[in-house]
Amino acid sequence: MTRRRGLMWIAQHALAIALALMFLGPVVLVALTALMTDEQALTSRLWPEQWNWANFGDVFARSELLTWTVNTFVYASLATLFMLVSSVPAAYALARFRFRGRKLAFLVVISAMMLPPQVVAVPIYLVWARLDLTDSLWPLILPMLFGDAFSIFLLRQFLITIPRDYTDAARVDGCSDVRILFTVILPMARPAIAAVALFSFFYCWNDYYGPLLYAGVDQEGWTLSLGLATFKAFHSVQWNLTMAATLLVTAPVIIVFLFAQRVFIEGVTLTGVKG
Amino acid sequence: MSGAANRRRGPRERAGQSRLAALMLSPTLVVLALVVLYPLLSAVRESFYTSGETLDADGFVVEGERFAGLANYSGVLGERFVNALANTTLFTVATVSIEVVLGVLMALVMHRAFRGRGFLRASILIPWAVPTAVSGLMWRWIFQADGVANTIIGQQILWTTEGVQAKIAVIVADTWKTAPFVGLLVLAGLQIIAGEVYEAARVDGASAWQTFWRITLPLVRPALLVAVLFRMMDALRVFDLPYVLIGPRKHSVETLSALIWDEATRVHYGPASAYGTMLFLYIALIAFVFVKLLGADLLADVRTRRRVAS
Repeated sequence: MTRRRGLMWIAQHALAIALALMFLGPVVLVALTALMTDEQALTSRLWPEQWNWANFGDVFARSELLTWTVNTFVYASLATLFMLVSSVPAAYALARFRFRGRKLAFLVVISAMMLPPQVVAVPIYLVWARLDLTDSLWPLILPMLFGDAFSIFLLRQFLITIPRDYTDAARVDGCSDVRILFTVILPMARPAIAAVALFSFFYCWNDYYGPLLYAGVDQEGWTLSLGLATFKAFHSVQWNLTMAATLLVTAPVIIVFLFAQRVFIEGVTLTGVKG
Repeated sequence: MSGAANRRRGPRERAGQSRLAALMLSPTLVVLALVVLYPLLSAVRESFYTSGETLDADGFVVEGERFAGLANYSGVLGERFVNALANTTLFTVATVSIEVVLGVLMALVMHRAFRGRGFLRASILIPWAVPTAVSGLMWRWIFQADGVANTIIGQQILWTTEGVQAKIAVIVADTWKTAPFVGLLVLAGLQIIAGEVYEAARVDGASAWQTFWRITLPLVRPALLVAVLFRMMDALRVFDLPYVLIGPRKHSVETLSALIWDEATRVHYGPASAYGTMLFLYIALIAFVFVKLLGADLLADVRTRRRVAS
């Protein structure tokens, strides 16, 4: 028994290390390249012969990295906040209430998820142009006030797994549906809400075609993904600078995630489902 | 208990719920309908028209849109469309299956308590924090002729040229980027499994293997199905990664989205809309088949789920 447990321990740690290597490895390579001199970055030697920390300063000097970071943060945070405010009630209604047209409502949500963005980009762009909101990130933020199909679907899937007994008990005690949402459902769904918020934040952070379509030509209004792709185009042979920029962009997100992870785990231990 | 509470709920309360549901859902539904239906209809309409200057039957130049019937759809039978369809399908099947295996492994490891778990979680999720456009550049650098990939395997493979190796490069890069997404969703699913279930299994003397197949996997199934469905829909629309990694108009990695984009940038709006409509139908068909075959409980409502459970 103890021997088997020992083997399990080894297998588990080996797997953990293998996974960490697989997913962290390329990032380590990026970090090493970011510290190389211009000449070495073009060779296949992996370890920097000369640690060139000035690359990071160079990136700031040659681009609007700080502005892009602020823009991306504002865009991702606002979009995520708006998404939560609108999608949680919508998902709750879809998961818990029985009303006419519920199937149809759900169908609309699902088809919104399946639509290839390239197909609908032009008609939607024309609408925003008529509202005079292009050349800004608002066309990407404002729709989130009305919910996001992906998040609604995901939240609904989690909400239907909460046993009905909890809400029934609250209802017997005289709770209204709105109060049940806030006092019973929301605390229990915290891990799911944290996950959806993370997905939304990362989606905005990653998004390239949205900003490409709407952010306009002025670099002041760009996001990081847009700026970085252009940065690469301007400094095409300087892999070290491109990689330094990549590293600078990734770092803040990792910090955000480290905080979010705490909420994630804390949320789970607080849910009533477990005990 | 719950049955009694259900029975006690009167028609007045039911009506109150309907009103509340309408209040909570209507802004979302109106906007989704506008964002989905209007552009979709205009794309479908566009697919039956030619735009710009065309020649009429007598050879005169005609300005503006003209009804073209199914002419825009003729390309659907062409080699380029069929190839793009095959590429899209290959990428979807390959990446989603690898990601499910890796994602479940990740979630199982991340779920366990051990020293350095926080570090592992953070390092596994890093790929996700790298913007796709940037990770495409990173993998392009790794897959250079004298790049890291060739150094490690000791070969001289021209990864980013046309051929099978380009497909492999895209699959590797896409898996690296999106397996963490599956891992995180499965982890969230694992975390709502009650500890007692495992304890009961241990008391009954179940092996780790049995526990995984008989308890963990069935209980995490809803979360896993959602992850697979999302990933499939996303993979079927993949555009930026092959584009940045290998390049535009490369036969061996051109996906349907890339084909649509290429036609649209050459102002062939008719064929672009026709291909877009086909892609939408293809995604809808696959989602439908997936839900029918695997996820009967995926879209079901609470009542039927409870009946299945009890």
